[in-house]
Amino acid sequence: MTLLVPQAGEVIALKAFLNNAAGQDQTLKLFATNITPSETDTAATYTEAAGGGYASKALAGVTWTFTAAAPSHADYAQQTWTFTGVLTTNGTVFGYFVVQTTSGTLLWAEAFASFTPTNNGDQILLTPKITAD
Amino acid sequence: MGFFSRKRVAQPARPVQVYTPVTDGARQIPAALRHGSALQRHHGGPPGRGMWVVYEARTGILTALEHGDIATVMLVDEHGCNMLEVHAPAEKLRQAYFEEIPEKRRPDEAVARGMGYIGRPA
Repeated sequence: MTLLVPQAGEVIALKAFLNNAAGQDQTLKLFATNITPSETDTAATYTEAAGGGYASKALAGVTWTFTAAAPSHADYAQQTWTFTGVLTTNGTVFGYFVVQTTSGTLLWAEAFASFTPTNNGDQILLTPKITAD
Repeated sequence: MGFFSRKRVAQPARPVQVYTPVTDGARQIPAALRHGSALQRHHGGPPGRGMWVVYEARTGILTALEHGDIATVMLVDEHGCNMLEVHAPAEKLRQAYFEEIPEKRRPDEAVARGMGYIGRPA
């Protein structure tokens, strides 16, 4: 898996780093189109999963843990999606994307091996992580 | 007259799928590989993960560069959806022109120009 911070996300990171604009809490979403994230993407590029008990996850800035290392990284607790059945639009999940909760601006995205929720109880367990590298 | 009964046989429970994708958090191709690559942007900057490229007249997205300047590219269809992942020498790639980015995924022209996506030469 390869995480991608698009140009929009890079600008947000620079602005927060240089106290030009405050950061925001994030929303973690699963996408259901077979695409590879690109540097020109926006949040509108991604078709969010729907139905089957799916709901996006709220990520609070204060809950991230930060580790000074080589490279330094930020980690969040594992997030669990438990599906009640098939998705109602596109049936397969191909990755996740993270947006600022208030502005909706895309921060980063990552594709993973596809997964098709089928049965009540099917789960995706995802541990958000991002490095400074 | 005989009687018969039809017992409902318990069906085996369908197994639940649990999928745990692994995230390593790495967000960019190592700088040494990017700056030493034969693949450069039209405005001279280094390539980057997620860059739109063209390989053998097909548009794709650069996902990785490895030692030996070997690129991993996901070729896409006219909608920008995944078609085929290929590995090729970076010297055989070039940055896509603005018009070569699939329309559904084409960014604002001014934004694109800042990243080296120039218009197709006349």
